[in-house]
Amino acid sequence: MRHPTKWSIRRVGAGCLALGLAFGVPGGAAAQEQPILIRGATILTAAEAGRIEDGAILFENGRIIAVGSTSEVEAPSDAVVIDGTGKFVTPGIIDAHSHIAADAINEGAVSVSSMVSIHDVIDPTDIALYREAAGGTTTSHIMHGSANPIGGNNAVIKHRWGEDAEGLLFEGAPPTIKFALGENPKRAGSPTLPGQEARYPASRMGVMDVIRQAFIEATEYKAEWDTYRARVAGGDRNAIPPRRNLTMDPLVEILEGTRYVHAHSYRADEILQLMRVAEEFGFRIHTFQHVLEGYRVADEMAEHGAHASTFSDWWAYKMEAYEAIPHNAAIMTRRGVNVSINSDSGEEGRHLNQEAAKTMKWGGLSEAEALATVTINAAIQLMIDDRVGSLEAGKDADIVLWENYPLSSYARVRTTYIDGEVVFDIDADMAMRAEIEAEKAELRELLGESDDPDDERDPGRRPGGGR
Amino acid sequence: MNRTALARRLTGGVVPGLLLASLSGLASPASADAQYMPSQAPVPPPFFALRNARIVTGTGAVIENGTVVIANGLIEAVGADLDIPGDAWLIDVSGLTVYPGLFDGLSQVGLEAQGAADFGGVGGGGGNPLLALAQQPRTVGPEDRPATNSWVNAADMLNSEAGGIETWRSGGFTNALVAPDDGIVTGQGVVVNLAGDEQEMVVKAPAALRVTMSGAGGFRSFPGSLMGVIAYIRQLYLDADHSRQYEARYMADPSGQPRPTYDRALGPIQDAIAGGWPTVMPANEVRQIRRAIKLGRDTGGRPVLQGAHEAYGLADEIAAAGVPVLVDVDWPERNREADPEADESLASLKRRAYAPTTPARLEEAGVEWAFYSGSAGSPRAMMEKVRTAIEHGLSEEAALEALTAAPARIYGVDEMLGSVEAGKIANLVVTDGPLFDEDTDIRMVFVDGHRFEEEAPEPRPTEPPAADMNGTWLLSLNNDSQEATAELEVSEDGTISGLIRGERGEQQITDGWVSGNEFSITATATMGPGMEVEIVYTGTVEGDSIEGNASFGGAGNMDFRGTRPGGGVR
Repeated sequence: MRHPTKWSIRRVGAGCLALGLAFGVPGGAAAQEQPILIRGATILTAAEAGRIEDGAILFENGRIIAVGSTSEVEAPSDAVVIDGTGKFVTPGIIDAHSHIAADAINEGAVSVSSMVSIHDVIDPTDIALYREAAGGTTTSHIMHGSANPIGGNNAVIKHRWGEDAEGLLFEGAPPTIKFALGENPKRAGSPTLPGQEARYPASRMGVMDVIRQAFIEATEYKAEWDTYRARVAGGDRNAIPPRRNLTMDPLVEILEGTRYVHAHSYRADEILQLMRVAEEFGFRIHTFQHVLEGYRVADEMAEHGAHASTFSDWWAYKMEAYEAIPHNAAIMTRRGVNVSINSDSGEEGRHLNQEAAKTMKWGGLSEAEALATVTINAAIQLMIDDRVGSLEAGKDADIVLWENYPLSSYARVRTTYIDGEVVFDIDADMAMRAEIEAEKAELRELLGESDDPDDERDPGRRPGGGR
Repeated sequence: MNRTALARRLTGGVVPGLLLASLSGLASPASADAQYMPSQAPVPPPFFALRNARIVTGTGAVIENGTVVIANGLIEAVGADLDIPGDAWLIDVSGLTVYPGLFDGLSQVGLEAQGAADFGGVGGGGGNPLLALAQQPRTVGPEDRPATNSWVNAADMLNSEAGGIETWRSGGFTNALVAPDDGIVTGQGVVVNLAGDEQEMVVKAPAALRVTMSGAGGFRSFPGSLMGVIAYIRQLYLDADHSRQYEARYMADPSGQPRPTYDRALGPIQDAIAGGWPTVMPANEVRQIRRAIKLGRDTGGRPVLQGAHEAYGLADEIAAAGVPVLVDVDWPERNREADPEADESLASLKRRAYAPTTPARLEEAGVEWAFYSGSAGSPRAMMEKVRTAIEHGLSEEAALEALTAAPARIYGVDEMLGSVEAGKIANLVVTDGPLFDEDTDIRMVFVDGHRFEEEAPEPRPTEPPAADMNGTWLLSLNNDSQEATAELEVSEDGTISGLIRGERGEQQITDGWVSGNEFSITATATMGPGMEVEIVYTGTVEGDSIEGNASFGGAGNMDFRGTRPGGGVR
């Protein structure tokens, strides 16, 4: 087993303390140092190759070089070879709906908050990034909340624990935006104070009206800019550019097909309504989120071209979530909808493998179909399936090595790789706990707060400071 | 000195002639100039020649025995061998050191509360805060200019009689950048002198723009979140730029065009972009620092990072970005409300251990940076925290620069302030020792060439103690309305140390003596974050009883009596 000592230093900063250099500030992206070959494992590729018994996977410089049977894949001489006998390998899990690692989620005072972006508020220090990686999650779609019919812009990130906000971003992931329908945007759960002006909308009709109004405005705004650009192109040097409107810019991108809508939804009627409103303006709802009644309108969704990202078996937490069934994912899959299972939670994001497994129990999806709901299907929804979501040569080395069968409640992750680098390893984690305690003890000593009971009474004291 | 200069002086209204004031005893009665009252009609500053001074010029040079000539509020000459003008008032400062006046990089001193725009003005509600909140008008988009006070100029908010001015000045601070505090854009910061009337105080207005990125309105008012605030700031800068372009085009050819809408928020933003105003933005944590740098780059503003407690590991990145930094001297402490049983996180321990190394790291990386007082409520508290940074590796030269020339450069007043050089404003501080020594006292402060004398500390009586004050005393203050316990320990030379536990918490004894049967104890009580009050107990001791008077930071007095039930046993 390769022991990732480099990882423990770079990611945690332990060990540098004696030099006074452990500032806990992440360094730049470090590339995978050596080729790694995992051999003798059962590989669930989430690709055409399906399940490979006694398989091997070779990755180098952050990319997968080869996947196949152990006898087929040859390792270069400098490769670190890991014996995967009895173990399983899957692609890194992709969470299509998450709210971790952000300093803000809802811009809630307005009905249209498309001017805001999760990109501006990513919190790379959120421990959920690491904990979810310990559950095999390597990519997440960090979404704006559901307080508004048109919400903010989302961010697709990799769980590169230790990197800064910029370093977490999934390079080149197409931009997405959050929409929301039903009880949340109409503020059903948040009654106004006496005398307080209520925020519009207060009904499902109003939600559609807000979206329609916004796109009427966006169409006009786009026309203004088109006119201006045409004037400039025609040599008019006196043309005054229209005012840039940050609320409208993302809506224009939606109209132009360069930003993709992920709509929070529950009921069948509102799912149909939104698809019709979108079609009025010539765009498509890319993915319905939650979509607990999707099983009722799966054909219509398939026809519209919408994907579905749902929960395994989480429902009845509010009125509009009562008509849910755990067979939802399976039924939509059988009706030709691309379905993912998401977490919407920093807790559930640590065991999406189990959530995916439930689709085998409820609705009889195959192993490959179940695994796809948290890997390649989610990658397709985020339009990053050319890079991640399955184990194929040329894709990113986002790989999970499992101690045992992953689609099971007994599953346990041994190692999670992102871009070929270890972000979680169960042995390194145990070692790191001791390192952290040692580092804390050194820091307490530096602060003059070590176990001396007199110092405990005065935690603000510093060496040489104070009186 | 040439004739013109002499003529200028003579018309300055100062009595010519040789005034030789020998200041052998520095506690001599206040000079005429020390009675200079800021709110009265301007008093022309006199001419001084500080002789036999050790001069730390702040430009690197130290003159071991030199003279500073001050005329018309300016430094006229500095040097080792100067001809002292005949009409100057000679002050012999043998044994004392002259430094440039200190400059607080960001402060509220001297500012009166403003009636600035917040998230929709002041509500009614009949005293019910919830109702008041509900009745406030909501801001529902960027066009409402939520909490945007860019038009508020701190120069219009000055009150020369504000209490803090004298406190900071007597602590050696002659200058500060003062900026409003309310809003997302709080307004325009101003470099002030800490003396004179409201007009005289202003050195440069505006000198900065201040943005807080805080004050979000939750689910009621836009922007309700940090990302909303950031989006709003971007829109504000875009709007300022667009309105500038549109107004220019309109003025060139208004015919047939809709006229531009007046928006008081945008003009100062346009000026800030065009004039490259330093834009102070909060940036304490690593991700805040990176966000502020990025936002500055995106908007075309010139960001100045405020806080920087986690900048210790980012010094090279900040240097590469060319962004100046204001370091908050109020180093992080363990949360006082934290569960004492709870394990403190690694991140929190790191922040506390390394934040005071930030100045040293910035110095090494060559970042332009200055100190500011933050929540350090007094010059004494500030200097103590600066000493903490020195203990953590900052050089004293860099510490001085961060309190003088560096803030002057950041705010574009380095030709007027920041060093003891001819031609600059005569803002000086005169000490009886090295500036950063704990025992050094400030003896004189000059602002605009006016002298403010600080009383020399009274020498401590040195009679042998006539009574043993060791032990635990029960004190009752002001007719039994309050009680306290004092645990006192007296060393052989009569120095008292120990602890006083009152009904409102502990007071740490910082100084004390007993001489004959008289005693004085100085204790510091913490009234809140960064708020320290000094309490001086003076009185007499007779066997197992004491009595006297306690003075609370000049804010009040109480009589006290005390007994020692256990006798003088330790």
